[in-house]
Amino acid sequence: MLEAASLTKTYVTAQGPWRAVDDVSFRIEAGEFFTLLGPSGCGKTTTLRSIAGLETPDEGRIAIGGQAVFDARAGVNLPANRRDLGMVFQSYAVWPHMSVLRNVAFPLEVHGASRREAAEGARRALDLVGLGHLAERSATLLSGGQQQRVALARAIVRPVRLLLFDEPLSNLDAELRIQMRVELRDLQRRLSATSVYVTHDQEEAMALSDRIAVMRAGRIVEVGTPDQLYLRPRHPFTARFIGQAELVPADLLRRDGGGALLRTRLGDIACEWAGDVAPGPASLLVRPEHIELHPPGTDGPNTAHGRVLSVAFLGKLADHEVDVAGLRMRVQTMSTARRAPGTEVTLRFPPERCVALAPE
Amino acid sequence: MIRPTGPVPRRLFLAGAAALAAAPARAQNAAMEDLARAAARESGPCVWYESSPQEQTDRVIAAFNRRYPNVRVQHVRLVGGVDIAARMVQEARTPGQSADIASVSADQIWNLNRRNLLAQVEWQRLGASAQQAPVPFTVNIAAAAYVIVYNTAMVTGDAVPRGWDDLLNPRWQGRTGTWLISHPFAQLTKAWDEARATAFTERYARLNPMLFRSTFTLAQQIAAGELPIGLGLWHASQPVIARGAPVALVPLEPTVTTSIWTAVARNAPNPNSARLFVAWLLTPEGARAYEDATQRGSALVQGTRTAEMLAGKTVVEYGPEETEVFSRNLARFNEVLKAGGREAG
Amino acid sequence: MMRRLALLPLGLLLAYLAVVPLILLGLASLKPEGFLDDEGWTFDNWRAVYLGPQLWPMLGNTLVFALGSTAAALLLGTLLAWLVERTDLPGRGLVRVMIILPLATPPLLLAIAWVLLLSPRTGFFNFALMGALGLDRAPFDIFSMGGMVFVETMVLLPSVYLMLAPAFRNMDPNLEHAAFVSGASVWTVVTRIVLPLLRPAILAAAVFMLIVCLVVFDVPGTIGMPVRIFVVSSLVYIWAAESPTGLPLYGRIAALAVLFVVVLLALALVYQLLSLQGQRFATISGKGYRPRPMPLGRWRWAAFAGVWTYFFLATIAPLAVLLVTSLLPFQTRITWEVLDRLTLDHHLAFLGNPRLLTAVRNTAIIALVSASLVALLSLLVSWAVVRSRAPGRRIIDLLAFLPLGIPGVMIGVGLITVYLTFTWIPIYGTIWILVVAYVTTFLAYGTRTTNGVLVQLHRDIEEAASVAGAGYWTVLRRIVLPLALPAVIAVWVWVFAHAARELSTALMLHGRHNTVISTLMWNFWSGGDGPRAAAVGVWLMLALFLLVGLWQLLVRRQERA
Repeated sequence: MLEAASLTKTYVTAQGPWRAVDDVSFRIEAGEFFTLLGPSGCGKTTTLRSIAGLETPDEGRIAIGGQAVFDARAGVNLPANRRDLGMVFQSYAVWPHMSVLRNVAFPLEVHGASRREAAEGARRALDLVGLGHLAERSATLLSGGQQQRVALARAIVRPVRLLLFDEPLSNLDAELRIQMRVELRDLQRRLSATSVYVTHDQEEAMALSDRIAVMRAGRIVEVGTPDQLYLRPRHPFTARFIGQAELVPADLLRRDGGGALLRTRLGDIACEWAGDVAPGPASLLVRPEHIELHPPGTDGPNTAHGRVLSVAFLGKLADHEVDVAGLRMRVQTMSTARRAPGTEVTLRFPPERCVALAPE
Repeated sequence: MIRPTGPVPRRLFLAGAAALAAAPARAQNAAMEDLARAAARESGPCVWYESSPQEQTDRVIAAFNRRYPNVRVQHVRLVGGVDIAARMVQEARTPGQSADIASVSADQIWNLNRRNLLAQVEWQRLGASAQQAPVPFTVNIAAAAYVIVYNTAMVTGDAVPRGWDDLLNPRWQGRTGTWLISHPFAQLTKAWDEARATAFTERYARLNPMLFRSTFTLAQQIAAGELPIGLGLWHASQPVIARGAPVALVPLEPTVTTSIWTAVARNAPNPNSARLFVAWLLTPEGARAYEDATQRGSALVQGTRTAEMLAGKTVVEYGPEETEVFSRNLARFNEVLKAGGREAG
Repeated sequence: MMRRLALLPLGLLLAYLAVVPLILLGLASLKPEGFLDDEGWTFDNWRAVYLGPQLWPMLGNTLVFALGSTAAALLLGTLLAWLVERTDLPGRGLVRVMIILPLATPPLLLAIAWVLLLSPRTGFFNFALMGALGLDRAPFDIFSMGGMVFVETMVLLPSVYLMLAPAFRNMDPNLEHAAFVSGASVWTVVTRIVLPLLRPAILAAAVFMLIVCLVVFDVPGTIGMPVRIFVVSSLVYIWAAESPTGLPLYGRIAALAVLFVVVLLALALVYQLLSLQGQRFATISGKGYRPRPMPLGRWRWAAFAGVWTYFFLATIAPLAVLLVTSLLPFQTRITWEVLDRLTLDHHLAFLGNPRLLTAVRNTAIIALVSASLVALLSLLVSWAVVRSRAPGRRIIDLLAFLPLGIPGVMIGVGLITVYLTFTWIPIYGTIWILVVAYVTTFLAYGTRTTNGVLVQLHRDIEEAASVAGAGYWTVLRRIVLPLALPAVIAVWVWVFAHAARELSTALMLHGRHNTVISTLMWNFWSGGDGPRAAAVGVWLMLALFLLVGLWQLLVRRQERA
């Protein structure tokens, strides 16, 4: 549905040229919810705005539904208003001089709908986002969450080829954000709208996306489903950016099918997933919540001896800081299974949860 | 075109006049010397409100200082007589701030005197003639004379105007111009009867003349060729003529003028300097200096170019004491000019 | 509490600047001859103005002139502001300079330049077109209502641009982008999103320009009056400068000025009603964005060509004709032959003038001080008006705006009276009385511009700073000023240029110690030396050109950083 190939965008700044987007390529299937995830300044918003036609990349090609909307070499650059898109902006960009209804009806009107048809369409869209009762209100008299919904309704009021979201939830409070997240996902499924979503919030990305592209410094680090990126990332950056990660320097001794045997300060650890890491320097990824705590003296493969330094009680969960062979590791358990500080423990790293990565 | 009249009779006349004036002249000289000594003791500078550009008045003051080096005069240039009169009225409330001398037209000086703002001076004791100083509150230092101004490249042969009636030639329909204010026409009521002056003004207005804020602009437009002809002022046409523009002037019979009446303020901070300077402007030396600088000279002082130009002409102008009649005519004729081809209301 | 305390001195200062001339206006209108020292009281002036035959026939012309010029200047000025500030029009830095350049030219000279270009018999364009197209009649006649509207439009345009440009620049571009992505064409984006969003700024400019058109005289006096097109301001001129009684009819002017003030109040009220929803239009949200020009696509070069055609006609041609005229021995039709007679005499005469140094110094001080004071006061007034909830804020806004409706001559009369009375403020006849006059009149412009920008500023931005512990003045200095800086600088440049070129007030208040460049120019002009006056104009333009160029360099450096 969407294909971006070799997008590059360089800005001239006082400190010299700066590559905001550096050779970015990806494909998105129809109906897919695709997220560009990364820290601020990673080029995700520039990429999104390039798809929208609000930025012009220096190089590359963008095709929507097989039609090239941008092609630097062929000199194709369809303006934003002819790309048939819906977009939700971080600042909502709700027009303050119009009512809620007129805001939402606008895309229909500019596509030739009569005022009445546009109003009807807008009401349907407002009902979808649960704002039907506020249609006549002035757009400035809305709360942030309501403005968010107006912006959303405006984006989906027409059946568009592509929905674009530029950090739409980042200005909402935590509770509202989670609620909107669910609604947004729901709506996207119902409309089966192909969507590109930009965020720096990994939880949001995980909850919403079919696939996520992790970006750093203008480049895509890796693309995958939330499961893949969480459980079997290929890059230490992904591992650290998505979820909590314990990364231990290691030496890959030998490959073993899809897995590998790693030598670390914790001892030799078997991993069931090693991607394409070759023998030599590597690192071991294990998530704190996957590490098991056992009574001291429990033996077996993938175990190590340690002592609890401190515990934080989080309600359902407990966070332990454990000293293992001079390394400080975080271990998360159910709070019912928490250990007191000073307790000697044996840690077990389940091989199916251990991942070998390239060295950091 | 203006050509000097023959030089010989003028010189004879001057010699005779000088001989006749010899005895009073000594007394007058003594009075001026006394005044000069008193003036030199004043803190000064003596401030003179006059509407000529400062480049011109600088030269007048320089000539004065060659005669009286110890008396300081500062010219402050205000836009026009109305402005000067207004400023004199306002400054009267704060004596220290008041100017010493004002040079304006007859109607303005009349208003200032009516408001008791002018010093009453025995000008004749300081050498003024009766014509120069018909009343104690003011003297006539120079006059601006109305003339026909035309472009010599556009107006040739038979078309060259000779007098008032040539201004009304239908060939100038829409192609003539004059001052926005009907000063020359209103003055004509003094030479002709009121009906004739009114008829003349109305016929001229029907030509749809262009009306300029300044007769300098009129002369420029004629020099540029925008208009072939107009009724303007002698001195306002001199700058373009001096620069070689194809412009010539035709004096009129009768000639209407706007005199520059000069007075000393009643509260003048430097009354002696003021009297001395004004009295000096009335002398042949002062009058010539003023004329050389501003192109406006006194017809009442022999030896000025203005006196030469106006020799043999009937010169008409309402004096200060006739201001009420003049103002009435002026207001009426202004409306006639403004109405143009349409009938005046 | 701090805010209210800060409002008080501001209100007092404005009251002093605006109310004093207003009271004097009222008093003068009731005095027989308009002077405060006149004996007795009378309604004669009111009767003469409103029941007399002169005023009402001029209203038709006045309306056509004011509405026509305002509409044309707004249309073109808004278009230019949008093209320069919001699109990828090529060469925008230079375009900015070109728009602003005519600001340095006194309107009198600009009107004269247009007479030189378009007068029916000697106008350069007319002549060129007649030759090129084989016409036997001049295609244009500047001496007409059309000519007046045209030239006044050219005079107003830089001001319209400067008033609107900051508002355009500060608008959150996502508001446009959202419409653009929705499928709206550029035209739809402009008409349905951009213009309605900028309605407060555009309305403010419209109100301002209408009042200016009501009061200005340079253009109607130079272009309309010669062919008997009189507007209401012509009456003011005739009564003030050429009164048939010998004394100015200040009483009548004062009575007439009350009409201006009433119109101004009515328009200001309409404006306040129409933009009551000030908060609604907060478009600078503080959410980070990088302004990105809207691509004009294939219109880009068409717009470029259009803009430069306009500049050639509106800026380059009149400025060039002034330059050539300044080199001519006397004002004349410009042909190839006269080019042989070019002379530097006028420039040398101006540069060699013994009063030049004093005049330049006086002008520089007056322009600098007036511009800085107006910029500062405008910011303070706007901040108080837009932000504070104190009861008097709308009145403060009106006070800052009112002097615009008082003809310059009456402001002059008022100031003369005030400072001849309060002699313990010894500024009569000095440059400081001019500074007071300029601050009074130009504050209206300044506050219209800064109001427009501060209305856009979201309250959160300031409140965030307050919460962070910043006091009133810190918020102003560290938050409001930097965000409003483009507008404040625009105000500064506008006032500087106007104070440097202002003629009628300078002449009205001319005294012993305050010769300025524009009065020097007037010396030449009224002494019959049009070309020499043009030479002064050329130097004024050169000075402003440098100033504006410097400003634009700074803007560009700031944008890059």
